[in-house]
Amino acid sequence: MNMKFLPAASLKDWLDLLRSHGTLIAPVKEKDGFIAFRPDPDFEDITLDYQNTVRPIREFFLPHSETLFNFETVQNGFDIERNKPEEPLVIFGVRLCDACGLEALDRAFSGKYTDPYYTERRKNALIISLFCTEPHPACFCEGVQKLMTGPKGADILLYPVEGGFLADPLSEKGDKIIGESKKLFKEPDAEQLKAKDAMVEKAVGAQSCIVDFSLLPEKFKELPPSSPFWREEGEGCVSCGVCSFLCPACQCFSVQDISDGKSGKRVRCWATCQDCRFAKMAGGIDPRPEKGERHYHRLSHKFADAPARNDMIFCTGCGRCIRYCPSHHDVLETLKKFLEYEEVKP
Amino acid sequence: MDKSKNLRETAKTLLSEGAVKSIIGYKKGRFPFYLQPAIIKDPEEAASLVFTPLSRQNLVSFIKKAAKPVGVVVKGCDLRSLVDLLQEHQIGRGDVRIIGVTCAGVLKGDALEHDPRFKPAEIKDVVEDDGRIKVITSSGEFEMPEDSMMEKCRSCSVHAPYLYDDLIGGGEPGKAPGPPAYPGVEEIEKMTPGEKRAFWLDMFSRCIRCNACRQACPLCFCEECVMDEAKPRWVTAEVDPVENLFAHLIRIYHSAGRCVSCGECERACPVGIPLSLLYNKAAKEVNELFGYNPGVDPEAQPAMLTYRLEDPECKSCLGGRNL
Amino acid sequence: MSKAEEKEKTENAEKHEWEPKIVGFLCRWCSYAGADLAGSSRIEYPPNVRVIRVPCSGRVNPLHVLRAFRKGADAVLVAGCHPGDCHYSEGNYYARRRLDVLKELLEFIGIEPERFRLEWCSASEARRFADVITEVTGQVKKLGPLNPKENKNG
Repeated sequence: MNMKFLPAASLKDWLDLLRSHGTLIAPVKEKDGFIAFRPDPDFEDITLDYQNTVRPIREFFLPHSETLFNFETVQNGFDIERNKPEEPLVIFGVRLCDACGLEALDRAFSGKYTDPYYTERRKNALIISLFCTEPHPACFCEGVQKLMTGPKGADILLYPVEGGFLADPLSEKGDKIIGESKKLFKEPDAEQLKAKDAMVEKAVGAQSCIVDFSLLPEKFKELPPSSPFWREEGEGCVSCGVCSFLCPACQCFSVQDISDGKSGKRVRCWATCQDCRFAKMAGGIDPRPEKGERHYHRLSHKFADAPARNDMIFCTGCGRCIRYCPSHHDVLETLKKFLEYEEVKP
Repeated sequence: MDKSKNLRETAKTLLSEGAVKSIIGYKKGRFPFYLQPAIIKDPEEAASLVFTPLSRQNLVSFIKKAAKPVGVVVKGCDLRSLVDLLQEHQIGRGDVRIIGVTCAGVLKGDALEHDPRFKPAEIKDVVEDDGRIKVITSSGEFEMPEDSMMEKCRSCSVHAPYLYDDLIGGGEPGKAPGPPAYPGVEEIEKMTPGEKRAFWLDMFSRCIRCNACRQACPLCFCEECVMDEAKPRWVTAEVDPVENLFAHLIRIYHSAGRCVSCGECERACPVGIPLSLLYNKAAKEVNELFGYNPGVDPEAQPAMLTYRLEDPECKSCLGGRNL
Repeated sequence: MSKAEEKEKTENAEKHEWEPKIVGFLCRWCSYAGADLAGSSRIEYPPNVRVIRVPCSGRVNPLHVLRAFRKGADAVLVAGCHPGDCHYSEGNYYARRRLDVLKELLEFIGIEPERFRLEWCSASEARRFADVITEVTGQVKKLGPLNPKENKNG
C-alpha cells in the first residue's frame, strides 16, 4: 500500500468526505484549555495542537457506562429491549498509543469471547492516526510496542510534514478510503519522505525506556503479591482509578442493574483494580486487600498474563498513568526496581 | 537556608533516635518536574528527601496507614488538614511528629508543561530561590510568574506552619490563619441559575468517576464511602453529568465545615474540574454563617458537629413570619 | 431565557397541565401533626406535596434532599418543630445548620432558592402549613420543572 500526500488545504474537504462514513470524532480545545475528543465538531474547532488528550479514545468503543439493555416486568417475566446499534465512528487525530490500545481491547472483546457491543463498534470504525512529533518525556511507546517504527491499530496514519500530511494506509480499509478521494491526494516527493524518516528518528530519540519487558513474565512468577517489594511499592498510592481509567488498554468493567423495581436498565461501567473493593467477594474474602497487591495485580496482568494469553503486552506506553497519577507513581521505575529486586530469604 | 538539607538532617536524626518509626516526605523520581511521596523507615533513606516548589501533594492523606509514630512533612496549608484529623480523633497527637516546612508557594500541576519558554524534556531542576520559583533547563534559567502557582498559594496566609514539632526552613513560626480568600467563588455566585447549571453540568460531563478526588483527600477517611454503598445505592456508577454532579455534592456536603481548602481534590483530578470552587463555597458559607474556620484549633468542634442557639435562621425559613 | 422561550415554556406547561412535585420531609412531632390538623380542619392546600414522615428534622440527611431532587422532585420542603420545641431537645438546631449550608450549595449549582425550603411549623399551625404549601407550589409553578430533560432513572 502506497503512501500519499494530502495538502493541508485539502484537509477540510477530506474530513467533510469522511463525515459521510459516520460520526466524525476529533480533538477539540475547550475554553479552559482542556482537550478532548468530541463528536461532530466544526472544522474550525478541531485542534492539532496537542501532545495527547487526557482521556484516551477507548471510551468510544468501551464507554465508561453503557446501557446493555432496558428491561420491564410484564406478566410472567421480563420484556428486554437491547440498545440499538449506533452510527459508525470516524475518529481523527488518534495518537498511535491510543490506536494500539484498541488492539489490546480487540483481544479481550473480539477474541476467544466476543462482545457484540464492542465488536460492532470496532468493526464499523475508521481510525485515523496523527503521528506524535513531540512525545512527552514520560512516553515509552517505542520501548514497549515499537509504535513509532511499526505503527498498528489505525487504518490510516498521517505524518505532519511541510505543507500537509503524508498519509500511510495501515489497513485495507484505510487504503480504500484514500482511494475513494484520490483527487485530494498527491504522490509524495522524496523530500517529504526524507522529512518523515527524520521525524520518526527524532521522536524515537525523545523517548527513554529503562525496562526489558521480556524478562517480566518470569519475574512475576518468582515474587508473589504478598512480597515486601509490593507492600513498599504500594505505600505511596492513593488507591484511585486514574491509572486504569486513563489507560488506553485497560478493560475491566462491572455491571449494575439500575431499576425502580418495575423497569430499569443493565449498565456496564468501567471498574478499576486499584479500588479497595475490586476483589472483594461475598462473605468478606478479599484476595487483594493491600494497595501493593493491587499494583501487582495490575502490572502482572499487563506485562505477564496478557503476553502469555493474548500475545501482546497490554500497555502502549502512553505515559498517562505517570503523568496524571496524583502521586506521579512511575510504572517503569517500579518495573525496573522489580527486575533488580532480590528477596532476602530468612 | 537549604530546606532539603535541613529536612534530611532532621529526618535522619528522628529515625535513628527512634523518635518516629516512619517519615512521610517528598522524593525525586525519574522526572525533574514531578515529585513522589516517600515513606521511609531507614535513617539512610533520609538522603532521598527533598522539599521544592513541586511539593504539591498533601501528604496528610498517607498518615492513617503509616507505621506510628509517624513524622510527616507538612506545609502550612497541609497542616490544617492534619489539625482536622486531630479534631476528629483520627490520629493521636502523640502518634504524629509534625515536621513543618515554611513554603513560598508551589507550582500548578500543568504550569511547567504549558510554559512556552521551554519544553518539559529540557527541565533539569525546579528550585526555590528567595521566595521565587526558578526552573533550570538545558536552555537556561527561567523565573516562573506568580500565576503559575496554585490558586491557594497566591492568597496564602500560612507560609509558615503555626503548629509543629520541627520547623524546616527557619524563619518566624506562623500565626493561626484567618479564613482563606475563596478565590473564584464570587464569579460563579453572580451567574443566573441556568448559567450555573450549564456550567457545572458541562464541567461534570468530563468526570470519569475515577474517585481520585476522594482518594487523595486527607479528610475522606470513612471505611465505607456512601458513594460505594450498594444498599441503598445512593449513587450509581453510571457516568452521566447529573449523576456525577450529585455524587460530588454528597462529598462536598460531607466535608463542609471540615474541608480546609487544601486543593488536593482539584490537583488530583485528571480532567481539570474546578472542584475547589465547590469546596470553597461550602467553606465560605460555614465561615459566614457560623464564624467557623476549619483546621485551626485542634480543640475546636467541627462546625457541623455542633450548634448554637443563636445560629442564623435558614434564609428560606420564614422564622415565624406570618404569610 | 428569551421571551419566546419563556412563552413556549408556559404554554407547554399549560398544555400538559404540568404540576410540580414537591417532596416534604415532615417531623413526626410537629409538622406532620400540623399537616394532619390541616386535613381534619378541612383547610385546603394544593395536592402537590408528597409527605415523608421523619422522626425529627434532624433526621433529614442532606443526602435525602439531594436524592429527592435527583429522583425528580421540583422542590423539597423540610419542616420541623420551632427552635426550642424539639422533642429531642436539639435535633432542629442541627438541622438548621446543615440545611442552611445545603441551601447555599444548591443555589451554587443552579437550583433556584425557591426550590428548597426549611420551615418551622408546630402541631397547631395547620393554617401555616397550608400557607407554606400554597406558597411553595405557586413559586415552583412559576419556575417550571427542574431539568425537564434530565434522566430520572436510578
